[in-house]
Amino acid sequence: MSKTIMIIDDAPSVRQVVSLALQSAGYDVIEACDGADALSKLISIKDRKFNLIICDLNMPNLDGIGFLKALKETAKHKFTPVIMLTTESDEEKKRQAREAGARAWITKPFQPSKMLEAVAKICLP
Amino acid sequence: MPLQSFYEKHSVNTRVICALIGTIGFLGCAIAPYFPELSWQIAIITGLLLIGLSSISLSWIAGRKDKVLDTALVDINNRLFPIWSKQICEARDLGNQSIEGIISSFSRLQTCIGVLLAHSINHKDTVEHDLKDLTEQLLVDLQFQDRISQMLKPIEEDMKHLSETIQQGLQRNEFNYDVQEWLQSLRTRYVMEEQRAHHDGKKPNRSTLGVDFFE
Repeated sequence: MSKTIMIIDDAPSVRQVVSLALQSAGYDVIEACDGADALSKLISIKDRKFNLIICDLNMPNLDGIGFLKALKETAKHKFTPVIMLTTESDEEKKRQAREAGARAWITKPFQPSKMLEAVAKICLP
Repeated sequence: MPLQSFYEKHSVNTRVICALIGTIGFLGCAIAPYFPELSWQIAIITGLLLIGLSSISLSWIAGRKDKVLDTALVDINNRLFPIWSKQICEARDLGNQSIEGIISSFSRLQTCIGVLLAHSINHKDTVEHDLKDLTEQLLVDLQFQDRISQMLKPIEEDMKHLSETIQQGLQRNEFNYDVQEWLQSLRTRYVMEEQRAHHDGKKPNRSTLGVDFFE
């Protein structure tokens, strides 16, 4: 059974690009448009194990850091690894993400091959 | 005050009218002592003089407000607009470059497919490698829309802020702004290094960045 990855980004074009890259490497992808939508989907989708979450930082409703903090408070998904994928390059934001529990930080525009390397390294078995 | 608001709305025309009324008033005062029998005419002239003086002072206030607005707009125009303009131009250039990249990749893709069809299995490895490179580059180029949105977002916010500042300034008859503070605030809302570089007048590094692992 293939691994499932959730991509959270408010830009549809980014979600499509990430989905395309992940699907071509054999991953199943679930998309969410912001942190709140992602939490809602994580709760409602019960028949899947999420092996990894790729999350944008600046989003409406619930941003990346807020989502990370909320995720770490859930019993089921608190150990699911999260990679931040963002245009943000501010060191302070990076530190906040690290403290909130992110495992890696990829700055956009990203090379799909490098993203896939990071995914393979961090993705839960 | 209705009269004052009238003057504020039509400050340019009223300044001319007020100047004329004032002049008539002054002339009336000047000639009045030579015609003592015309007391009612003197009263009218004195009234005109008072109206003229009050009109001139109101007009002066309206004119002063115009000067404050002019100074604010000149300052904003000289310092803030060039930064907005630079960011918008860079966003447009980024869009153009990305589209060129995508078109170029599609063109190469077409060539690869042509080669694949012509030589069938002989060049399979080479074509496969080229296709992989092309797909990778296409996926990078296709990310331009998100970057353009990020570039234009703070400019859009600033335009709204400017509009509100001008409206509030007109209502309060004063402009509380500091362009340096404004520029600093704008800079803190950037999310990409290239935005900060454009703002600072430096050349940005547009290369794709790697992955930072937190462990």
